[in-house]
Amino acid sequence: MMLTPHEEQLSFRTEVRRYLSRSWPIEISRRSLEDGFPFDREAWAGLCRMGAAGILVPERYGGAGAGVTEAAFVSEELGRLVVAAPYLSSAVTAAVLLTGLAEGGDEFARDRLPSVAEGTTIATVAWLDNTGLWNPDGISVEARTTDTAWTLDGEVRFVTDLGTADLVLVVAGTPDGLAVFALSTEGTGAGRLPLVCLDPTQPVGRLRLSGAPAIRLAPGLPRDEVLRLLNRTAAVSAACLCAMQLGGAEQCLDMTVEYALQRTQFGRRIGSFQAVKHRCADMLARAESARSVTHHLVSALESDAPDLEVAVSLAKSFCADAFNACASDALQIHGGIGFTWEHDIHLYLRRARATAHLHGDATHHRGQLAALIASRQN
Amino acid sequence: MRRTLYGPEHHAFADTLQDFLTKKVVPHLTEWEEKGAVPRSLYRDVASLGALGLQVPTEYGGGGAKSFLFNCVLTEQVAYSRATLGSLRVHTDVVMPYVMAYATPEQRERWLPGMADGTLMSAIAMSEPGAGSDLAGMATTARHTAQGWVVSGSKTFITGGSQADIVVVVARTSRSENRRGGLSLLVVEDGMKGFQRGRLLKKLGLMTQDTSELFFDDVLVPHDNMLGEEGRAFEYLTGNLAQERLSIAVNAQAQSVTALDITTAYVKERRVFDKALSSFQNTKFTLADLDTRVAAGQALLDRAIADHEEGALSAADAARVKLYCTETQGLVVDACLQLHGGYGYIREYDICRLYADARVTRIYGGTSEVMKTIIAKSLGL
Repeated sequence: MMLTPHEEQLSFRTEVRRYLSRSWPIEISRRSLEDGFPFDREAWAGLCRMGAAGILVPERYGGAGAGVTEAAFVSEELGRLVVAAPYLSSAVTAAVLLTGLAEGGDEFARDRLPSVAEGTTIATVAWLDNTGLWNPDGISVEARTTDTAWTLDGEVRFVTDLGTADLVLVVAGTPDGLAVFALSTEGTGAGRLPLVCLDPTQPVGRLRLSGAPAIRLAPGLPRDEVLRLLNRTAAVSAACLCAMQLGGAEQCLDMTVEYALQRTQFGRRIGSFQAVKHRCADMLARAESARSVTHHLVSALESDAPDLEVAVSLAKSFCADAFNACASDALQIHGGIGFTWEHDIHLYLRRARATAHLHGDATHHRGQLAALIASRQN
Repeated sequence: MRRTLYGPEHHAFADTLQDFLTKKVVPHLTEWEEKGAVPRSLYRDVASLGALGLQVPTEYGGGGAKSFLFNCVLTEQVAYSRATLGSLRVHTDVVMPYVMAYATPEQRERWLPGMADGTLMSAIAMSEPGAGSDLAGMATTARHTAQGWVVSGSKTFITGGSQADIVVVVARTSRSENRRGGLSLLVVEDGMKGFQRGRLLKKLGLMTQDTSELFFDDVLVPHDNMLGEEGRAFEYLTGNLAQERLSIAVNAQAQSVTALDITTAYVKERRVFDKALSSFQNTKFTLADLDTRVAAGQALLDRAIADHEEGALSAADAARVKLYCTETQGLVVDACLQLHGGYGYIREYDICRLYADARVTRIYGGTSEVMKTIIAKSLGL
């Protein structure tokens, strides 16, 4: 499958890239490491004015009504500059989930979507299991009901952007299957514990719920439909995550090539040494292959392809390794300077390591791929 | 790196061998490769140098060495000289230990003199079409009768099988509860009725080693031809596996050293883009990397040989050494062939043969995966 983005989509990407390099340089994101600064609200507002927060939300709910292609492009550009922004949590995961629920007739979702699409409400979803994976059998939150209201109990170990989220959606088990809940805004019975992360530009928190009041969203939606929606949400999130890794890998390559052309040792530019130029060529090959598998996944989502699961595991396993390898190679080629705090490479290495685990690491997805291929042959 | 294994007697032996191999073997290599086997007379020539019965006691015409070091020297010199001795290593390093350890005085009298002078060549028949390293899955049977054991079944991938005068056959002599029980060693001799050799199997490499299928159609084997005690073959076979694997590692390591030598010489001569191939950083770094791995392999291997000399080499350590040396050999021959470019793909260049011959070392004597299983087990996994 080939992704052939049209002119408009490509120029949108260029605009996003231009905006980010001007208004959200890496120095700003670096503050997350230096003083725990969550993210730049002003820069986020500017990005949202370009439609980023509502990119996947239909126009009738205040969004841009664009597709996964555009969403992935934004993600790639954010990854390129390791931007600290709640984009994946709010504009991708929560937005896709809320849109599905709104389409299922839920009033709360319809009511809150416009502010999520506008970027003024930051939303996140507490739904990953104890390994950072979306797994319907790994849901550890139980929902209980009295006649009129629901309360939630349990713990979700990894919730992205939990610290800054205005709206927290929780996937919990009910007597009639999995359902999506919105935590009440007062926050009673809900403890948010920020975790010390390797990559503070993408913060993760732990959510503890004990008798936390919550609203059940789209209670009339059949359980199969809920599961289908959650699976779709996971696939879109994975695609945008891969695009983010792709952007990071590309930037590692660009930085390294630039450095190799300028740094001189033994009277020559280091890029003229085969050991360096061959390594750069390997980085390029990895980054380009990461682009291919990411586009394959985006295209599978856009066309509702039947082998979506294969595309997800293929992309998720490859891109994580590719980004990791590119970040490691970039550091090696930069030599001592690459090992310093002042240099940006460690931000990429952190991002590569951290994103590799979100939504299942490469080993998990290779296992999934093997099982899918085996079942296909039977 | 400095090697400390060998004394003056080993170096003298190495010199003798090198002279013989260069003059009497290397010139015939192509011819023997085409035939798919070395001539039988070669084994007698090797025996005349005292190299065949190194460990056979002197009263049977052997060298009487307790040590395995001379066997190592032989294997190394064959590799360093870019020569071959066909399936000789199986005869000396694999079969002989069984005969020496388990044969009765009468059997020793009968077989050892011939084994030491090259007139009685041997092979061992373990693998079957349906069972490789899984000895417990063996299907060849031997039925007890008053006249002897009646062997029936088939074996495959038998090195030296087409030329062997005696074949040590692993056969099931009883069904036991214990999957490892009920296997025995029987010596089948050339000419016994019902013993047939199949075609020479064509292989990717090791062109001078004959490899064949063997068929046993109710072959009557005298009771006196049972090697060791009935039902204890599994224990015997696993008992010698450490030396068998060590022997494979010695060969793999020596082949790696040779591949590096050949390639280092080649890249100095070969010119591309108006420069010696050796002047490119890719060439230097590739060879430096391989050389480091090979040096590490030699240190590991020499440690293992020293342990084996003291009877202290564990099965897991033998597996580690075999795994490391053969996997390294694979990397070395592949990268070395790449440095040869198109010429590396032509058989008249030694690296081509080394590449083809290397592939099986990760398979025979237990695959790399089997080695990992053994190592994992030693970790309590």
